[in-house]
Amino acid sequence: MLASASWGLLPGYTVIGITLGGIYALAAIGLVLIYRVSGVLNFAQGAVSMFSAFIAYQVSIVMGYPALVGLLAAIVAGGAIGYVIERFTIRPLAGRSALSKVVVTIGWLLVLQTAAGLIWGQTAYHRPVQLVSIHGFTFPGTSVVVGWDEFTTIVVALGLALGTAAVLRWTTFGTSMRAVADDPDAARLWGINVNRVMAVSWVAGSAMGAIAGVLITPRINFDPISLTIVVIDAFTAALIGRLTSLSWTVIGAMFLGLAETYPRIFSSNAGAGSAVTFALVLLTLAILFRPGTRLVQRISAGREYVPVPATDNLPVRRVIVAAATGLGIVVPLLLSSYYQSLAAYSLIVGLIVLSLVVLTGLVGQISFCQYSFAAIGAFTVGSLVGGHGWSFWPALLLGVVFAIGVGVLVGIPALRLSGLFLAILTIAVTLFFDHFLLAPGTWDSFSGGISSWTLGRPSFLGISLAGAYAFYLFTLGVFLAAVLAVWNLSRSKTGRVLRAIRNSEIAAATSGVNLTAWKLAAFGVSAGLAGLAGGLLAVGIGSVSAGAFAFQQSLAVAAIAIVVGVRSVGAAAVGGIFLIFGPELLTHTPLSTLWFPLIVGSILILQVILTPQGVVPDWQERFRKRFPSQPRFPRAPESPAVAPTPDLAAAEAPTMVKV
Amino acid sequence: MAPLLQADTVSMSFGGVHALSGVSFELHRGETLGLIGPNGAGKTTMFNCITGVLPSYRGHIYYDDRDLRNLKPHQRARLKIARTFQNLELFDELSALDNLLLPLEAFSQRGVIGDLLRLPRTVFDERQAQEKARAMLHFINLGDCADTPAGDLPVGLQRRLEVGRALSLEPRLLLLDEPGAGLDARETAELARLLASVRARFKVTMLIVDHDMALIMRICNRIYVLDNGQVIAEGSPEQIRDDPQVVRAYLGEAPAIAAGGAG
Repeated sequence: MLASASWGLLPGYTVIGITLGGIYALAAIGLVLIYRVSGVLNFAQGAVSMFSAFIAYQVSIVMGYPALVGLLAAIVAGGAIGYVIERFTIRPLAGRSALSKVVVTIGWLLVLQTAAGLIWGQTAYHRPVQLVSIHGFTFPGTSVVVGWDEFTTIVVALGLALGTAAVLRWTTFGTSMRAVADDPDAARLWGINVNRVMAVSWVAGSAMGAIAGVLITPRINFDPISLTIVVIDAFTAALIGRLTSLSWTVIGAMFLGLAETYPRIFSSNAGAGSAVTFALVLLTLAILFRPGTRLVQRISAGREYVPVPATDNLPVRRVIVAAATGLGIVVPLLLSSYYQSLAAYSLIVGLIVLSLVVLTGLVGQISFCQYSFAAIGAFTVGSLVGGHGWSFWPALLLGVVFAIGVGVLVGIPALRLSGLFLAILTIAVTLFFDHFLLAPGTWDSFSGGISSWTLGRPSFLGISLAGAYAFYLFTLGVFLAAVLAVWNLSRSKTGRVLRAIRNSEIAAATSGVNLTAWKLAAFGVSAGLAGLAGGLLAVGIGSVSAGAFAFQQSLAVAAIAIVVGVRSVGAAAVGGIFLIFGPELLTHTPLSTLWFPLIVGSILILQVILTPQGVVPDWQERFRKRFPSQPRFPRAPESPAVAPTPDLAAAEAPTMVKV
Repeated sequence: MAPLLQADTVSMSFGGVHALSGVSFELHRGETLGLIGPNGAGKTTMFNCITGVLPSYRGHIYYDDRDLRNLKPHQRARLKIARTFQNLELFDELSALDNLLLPLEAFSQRGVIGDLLRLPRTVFDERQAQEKARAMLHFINLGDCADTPAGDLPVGLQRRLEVGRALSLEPRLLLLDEPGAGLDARETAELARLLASVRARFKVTMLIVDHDMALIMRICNRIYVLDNGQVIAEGSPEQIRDDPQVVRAYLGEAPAIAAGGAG
């Protein structure tokens, strides 16, 4: 396999790797700047870079101005987008958890990526913006040719890194930035305009992202998605710098650039770079976040305390569930078989939303890789049924078991990570699946390679599920059973234990709860549900191909789960219906289905700002206020959170045993 | 008989700060031991070492003649070591009743599968645990607040709920970390009564950390005084009250502070 001639390519690839590293460094420095000053991990960093790069494309390629004008336009656009994000969607969230701010940046990611796809084409070829000639010079003393573009990129990256470090260290404004980073409240007391400092960090960080975006266009596929996910490389570099050290971030970025480039000497698999990134993310997280100090020094993702209503109006709930089930059985009868199929897919996607209800709602861990768990179920069923002639049911069972296994594996690093870092990890998992594991050439006997698995519908208890309505009823049954199971889970020991862990890990552990086992169990259940959904989707659609389980869908399903409310089991159905019928509805409007992620992203941003609990719990809360139920036990008198009133204390005193 | 808990030259440092340097003490069965000392003396650190929250201490901690070294916090809890926290660590979202239910359930073998299917056995177990939790709720006098989320209770009641949660574990060793912090005189008196009744009813061995000398003097048999991560005195409440070294640690004579600053 290894041709000895390959080694001769090493110096040339080193130059390519360092150049790539320089670009990652730029994006990562922007990320670190924003994170340090405003405490927000900006998942939209790659999307901002991408959108700005397309502005440069518009100005210099489409409109024909010089490339430098395009770069300037991109920098202005990047800064402007950064300002808008901070001023209108991050600043209103002051005092909210870091996770809700991250969710907003995810919303922006969806919005910007979709908008760019609508304007410039999601997968079309775009001519890169070439700032500097690709002609170069021979590196002194060697035969390696370094392009002027590569040389400029490295110089610009290092220059901006040094410049940022210098500004932070030696200027008054840099000092106030560091002060805000340490403690915004204290900085405010010292007369620092905290809002202005934060806005500047967003503008500067985004502008740096814009430069990175323009520079990277000749080096990777210049399309909205490829550029957006550069954020993962930026995160990896930033993590190596512990999200604080600029010099380590640059070193990390260079290392990452090289590590992603070298495998290409030996492997034709384009996804090898993704695998390397994934491995590095894992390694960095594992090294930086060692166990032992976890319980005391937790990297707080911020807690948002939403009291769970202690009482429930059970009879009313039963009526609603029965009515909804009745409607669910009858209404699709009146629809065409096309809509019956869509209804079935809604419920299957609803299962994926439900899997997030377990993970995010109960454990408080966010995950952007639920579609990857679903993919495991789907491809296990696809390869076993389509490729090896297995019958559907054992294949589905095996798919669920595999998904549980992988879920537990993903859960192991997650044990040490709080929400934000877990979010990075799960995105890395998704990309690993998309670009490596399921990519043609990596494991074709599982993924089907460039072709897709085709499979027919099974029969259940002797009834064929080939008909649209029969299959729909079957999915309805599975969905209701899953909802019931998750509801059981949330109101029994598991639910209490997981909520307890979310409230206080240290108290749960010292009360005898095995944190590891329970968190992994939750990951397993969640992944198993997603795997079940994947297996059903495989037979529902009748074919499985890699493109169906993409990064964007994982983000969209997580976004929808958050929008409808991850703490509510009932939200799953609403989420599934929205995710399937939303795009369908759009085909009947002047817009197209391509607009859907943009709408989801916008709703997500608005929802986090307006109804933090989620839409469905919000309705339920209103409903409860209209139909209050009799509490099982009288509630404590409403007393302020200070000392109890004397008469209350006196009333309790007599039962105390006196010694 | 060997002591229930024995700390043998336990040391713990955070960076250059020596929170504990060679602390040794013994806690006998049935005793109520007080651990006092000025702020930063290392009292809470000691608790964190005993409960496994800080596993990387040097020295040894023996419980029932068994070295706790490699046991995780939940495993130590299963050996019936329970604790409360200085900065209340209740499960805010759970109701008061569920807070007490949690340690009971953590010990049961019921797992996810039983919960998913809600097997009859699960329901039966849950009922039994609820009865126990309800009894505990009445014992700590919070019977009226069963359904109130713990986070909504006033601080005085939260302190008692934490004691109740620790007792739900049916502990042999109960560690109380500043149970009186943030309470007024009346609440402190009630707490002292509660702790006395805990001792009478549950026959539990207690280790109490507090600043409130009145509380400690009232309920402890014996007292250790910690300062700068070292034991500086040990004895009965009367002996401790008159010990000049203790007085110096508390009132902060100049040399003592200088030594602390250097460490």
